[in-house]
Amino acid sequence: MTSAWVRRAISLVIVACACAFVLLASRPAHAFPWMIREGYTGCNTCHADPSGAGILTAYGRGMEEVVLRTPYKKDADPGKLGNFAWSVDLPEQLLLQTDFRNLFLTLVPSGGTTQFQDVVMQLDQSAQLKIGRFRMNGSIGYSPPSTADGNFTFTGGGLGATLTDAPGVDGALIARQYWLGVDIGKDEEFLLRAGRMNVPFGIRTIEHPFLVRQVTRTDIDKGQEHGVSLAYTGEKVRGEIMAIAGNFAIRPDDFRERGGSGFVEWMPSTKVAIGASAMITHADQARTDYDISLAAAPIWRHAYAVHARISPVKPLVILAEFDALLNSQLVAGVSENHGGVVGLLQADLQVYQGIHVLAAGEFYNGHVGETSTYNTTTATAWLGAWWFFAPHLDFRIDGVYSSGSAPGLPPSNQGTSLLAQIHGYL
Amino acid sequence: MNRSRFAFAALLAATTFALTADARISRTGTPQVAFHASGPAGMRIVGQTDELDVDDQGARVVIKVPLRNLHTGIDLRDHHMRDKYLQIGSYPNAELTVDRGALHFPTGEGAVSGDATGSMAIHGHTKNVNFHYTIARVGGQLRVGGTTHLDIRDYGIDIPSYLGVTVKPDIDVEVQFTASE
Repeated sequence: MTSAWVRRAISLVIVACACAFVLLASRPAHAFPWMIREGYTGCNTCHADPSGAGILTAYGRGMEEVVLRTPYKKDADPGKLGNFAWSVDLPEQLLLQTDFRNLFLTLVPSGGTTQFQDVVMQLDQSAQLKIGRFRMNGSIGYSPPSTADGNFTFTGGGLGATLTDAPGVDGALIARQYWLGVDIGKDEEFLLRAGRMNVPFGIRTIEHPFLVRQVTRTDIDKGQEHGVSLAYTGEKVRGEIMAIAGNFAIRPDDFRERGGSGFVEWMPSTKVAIGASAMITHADQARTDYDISLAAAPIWRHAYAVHARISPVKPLVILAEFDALLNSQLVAGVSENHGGVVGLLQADLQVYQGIHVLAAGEFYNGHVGETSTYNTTTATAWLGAWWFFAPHLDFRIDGVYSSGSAPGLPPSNQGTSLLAQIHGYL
Repeated sequence: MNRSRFAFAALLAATTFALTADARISRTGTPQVAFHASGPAGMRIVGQTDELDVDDQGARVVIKVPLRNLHTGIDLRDHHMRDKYLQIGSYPNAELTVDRGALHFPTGEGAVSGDATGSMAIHGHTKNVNFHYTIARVGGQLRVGGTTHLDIRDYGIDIPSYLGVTVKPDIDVEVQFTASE
């Protein structure tokens, strides 16, 4: 126990030093599809990633201060407050962002013992250098080692994006994204890039545990893949298509999924966006640790989605996604096709600028029409509140009830979770 | 975001309307004036106001759009647009002046549409603009809609730019209002 506390203390010191260095750090920070309420249908005005999430542009930083954070003075021009470290003028070619996100999680499983976790979800330094039309973008982070003391666990996040092998006593280095890209077109409306990137599929949202992101393995926490992508952003249409070469953080190679994924989104107005996505991947070996319904055999994994982001009135944004799933395996010469569906309906209500109340309902059915004895049906309900209370700082609490599990989630997921997160960035 | 500011200008433009030969018209109901601007990366900005006045002077018609309540949905952007770019303290309105003879009105119930040229004054600059209009007579009321395209540089308005994002100088303007004869 003493050892565990020492390790935890060391980890906390490391975290504190990192924070002091660039101050605060957070995770694939930001990815707010509800920014459509402000008329921002696309993402790349505010993000370096044309499909959203991750390091902010100078404009994105400014908008965070102007329209995202609670204002304490009407019509106040934030000046340099949105700049890196609240004041630093960086060269226009350079973007820097240090993120810190910590989660305190209370798990109340059905019929089990309450568990407590402190999770350093993100401690990342991100950067982008753009010279002419060429970009170099990446992030490096640290995930502290896990320690346990009774029903309390301290751990790091993003372990699906480790540069190192399984984290040991010293923790792990995390690199969620790193890519080289070139902007193409008169208005640089195309971006061609190669490296490790978020997978273009469905609604890109910061709530990475959502079933639609976990089941399809397209979350922005650790679901990035290596590959080549081409993104387009126009006034009424945007999209991205990616050739997936595999997640090289996963070993051995048999488990790496290769194929393609993409989405297209149509924005008929500045308050409505409707999209469709498709993904097909193949791996020589299925991730039975990820989805216990799968056989230890090669797998073709399909996912097809439709989604919508709608802001009928400025305070309210509705997000919806419905995915059809198909896992196709050849087991002992016999073809097995397992269908499934997963869906999300989320409402974001901004009761006052910077203060959000969020509610979401999800469902997952893993074996629609299957004769297999394995058949998972899970429903999840979220209710949360989020306050962007100070420059570069936000605090969030959530309560989540889940009736069961789904691929990517713990097998014994049934129960209630209470989450409290603090996030800051430089 | 500042780019939006300019947008204001646009609004006024569109005001096309039709008048009958002799009857004077006056605005009724709540008008709708909007401009559409764009920026890099698919960025779109829509500015709106519901203020518009029609001054039928007989030989010509003047459509005036006060810019003080032009909104784009973001307060700071509105502030920049009105004060820094439109400079409404000195130039509070956008005005489109059209010769009555350039407009065609429906005879009886029905609708006509056409293209015409008018004189647009914004930000202390005046320039001829082409616009498209539709006039429908319904129940004794004229329903007027118009669209036009403006380049804010023609009106001496700086191109809005904020934190590395620069708005394109071209904006589209659309106007709708009802009028009685």
